[in-house]
Amino acid sequence: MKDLREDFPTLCLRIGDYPLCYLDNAATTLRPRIVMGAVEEFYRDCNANIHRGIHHLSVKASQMYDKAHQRVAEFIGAGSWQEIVFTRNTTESINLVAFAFGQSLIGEGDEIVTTVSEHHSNMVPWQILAKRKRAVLRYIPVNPDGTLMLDEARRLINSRTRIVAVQHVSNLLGTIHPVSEIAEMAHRVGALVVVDGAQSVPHMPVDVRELGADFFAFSGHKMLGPTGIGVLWGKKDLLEQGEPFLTGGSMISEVSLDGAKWNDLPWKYEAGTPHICGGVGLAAALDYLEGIGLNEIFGHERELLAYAIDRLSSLGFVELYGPSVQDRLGIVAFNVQNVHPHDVAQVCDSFGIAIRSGHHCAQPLSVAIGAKRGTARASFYIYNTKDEIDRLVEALSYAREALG
Amino acid sequence: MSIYPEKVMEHIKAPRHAGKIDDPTVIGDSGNPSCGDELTYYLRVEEGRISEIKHDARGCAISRAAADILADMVLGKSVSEAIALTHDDIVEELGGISEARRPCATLSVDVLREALKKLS
Repeated sequence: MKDLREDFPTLCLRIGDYPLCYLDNAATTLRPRIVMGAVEEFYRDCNANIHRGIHHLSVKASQMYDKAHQRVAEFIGAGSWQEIVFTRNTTESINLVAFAFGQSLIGEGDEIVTTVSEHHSNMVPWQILAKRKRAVLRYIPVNPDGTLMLDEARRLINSRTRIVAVQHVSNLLGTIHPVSEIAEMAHRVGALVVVDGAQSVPHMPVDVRELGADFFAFSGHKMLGPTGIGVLWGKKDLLEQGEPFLTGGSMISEVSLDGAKWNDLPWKYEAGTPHICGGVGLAAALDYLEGIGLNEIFGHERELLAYAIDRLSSLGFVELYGPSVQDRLGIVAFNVQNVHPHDVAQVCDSFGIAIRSGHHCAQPLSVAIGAKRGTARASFYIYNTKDEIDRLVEALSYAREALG
Repeated sequence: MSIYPEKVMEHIKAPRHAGKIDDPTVIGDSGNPSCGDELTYYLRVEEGRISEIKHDARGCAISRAAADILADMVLGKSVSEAIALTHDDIVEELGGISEARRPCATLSVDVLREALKKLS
């Protein structure tokens, strides 16, 4: 892969005596100049509120924002740009589904199925919905390596199941879950499939319709885009049936003192002035990623992952979690023997290395894989190198020596 | 290279109050569920003063050092003086830890207070 590091000014930062080594990409990625430029350009040369403005700048802003929906639709294989709803992030997208569809779809005694592996964002909304509706929430359990127990999934998904919510890729272990297979089980019993794609779309080619999803959620900031812009894709006929989530301006076509009529898709789900420049910035990020190629990105990260697992396991004092390389993306969760993950992250920071420590918003999965106190996590992206993994190895050896 | 202030490193390597008291006046026991840190304080209180204090700290380096340093700070103090100690006091005493690690340090104050409040 060609050297992209010059496109990312943040990589020029120094942390103390060291150049920044950024290995926290599962939390948020860095942003290339072209994305920051698109945001700046929007505010400088356009800067207007969208839709129903007659003046020149408003028309231009509306076109750019509409086009951003189109760009996202192409990127994930959606049927139409009207199936793309911009939200704040994955969390909001999933909450939107839980509210707009869960409220009417779920009744007492109905069942919702999710997994032990989920990020809290695809777990807590279903816990709340189930409680509110006196429905039953069931969890597909995981094997010790974090992969899903598919036999259990077959048993848990039954004629009472209305919604199956599953992540595409684990944010803790990088596990690629067999979403198509689970979607098939769900559709056989007439349940809707909600997929958390926050960790997959940035790193591998994804076609939401091929995957068998009914809804698919992800975040712009985990794929070089601005923070505060997220996406919900839904099948058009479903989106047409759903109740609005947030209400007020923009999401209506007509309002009287007696009530209101809802606007066309996707605006029905985008109340208030949206994050216009966020959409524009995300579209620029997608152009950039496609310029590299998603298969290239997948291959680069796979190579880094294999190298990292090889180097870390050869140290002898690092416990690694997760499945084998062919079942995962570039995320490595680990513990250094006798050193708390927060201390590992602190030592890494003193070497200029940004990793994350804790439960990574997937506490039930931490517990399930036997890491009650959490883990340290390194996660890779397009600009990372094997040299940076060597730096991580050096820092872990120091952590072991100083604190282990 | 120093990861943590020298004082913190000293207390990690050679804690002065690690252990257990067989017949304590009161015990405090709590944790940070978000990171799995756990801390138990054993206290003997005589005539309103802390005459002995031990801890069993199971967590990160900062939480273990804080548990030991706080024990140093309150040994011999009156119960009301010890209860009056704040999160800022322990963070200041540790000297120069990152803001992100503040909850690791302040667990000690919370567990101690919880124990001493049982006496009143």
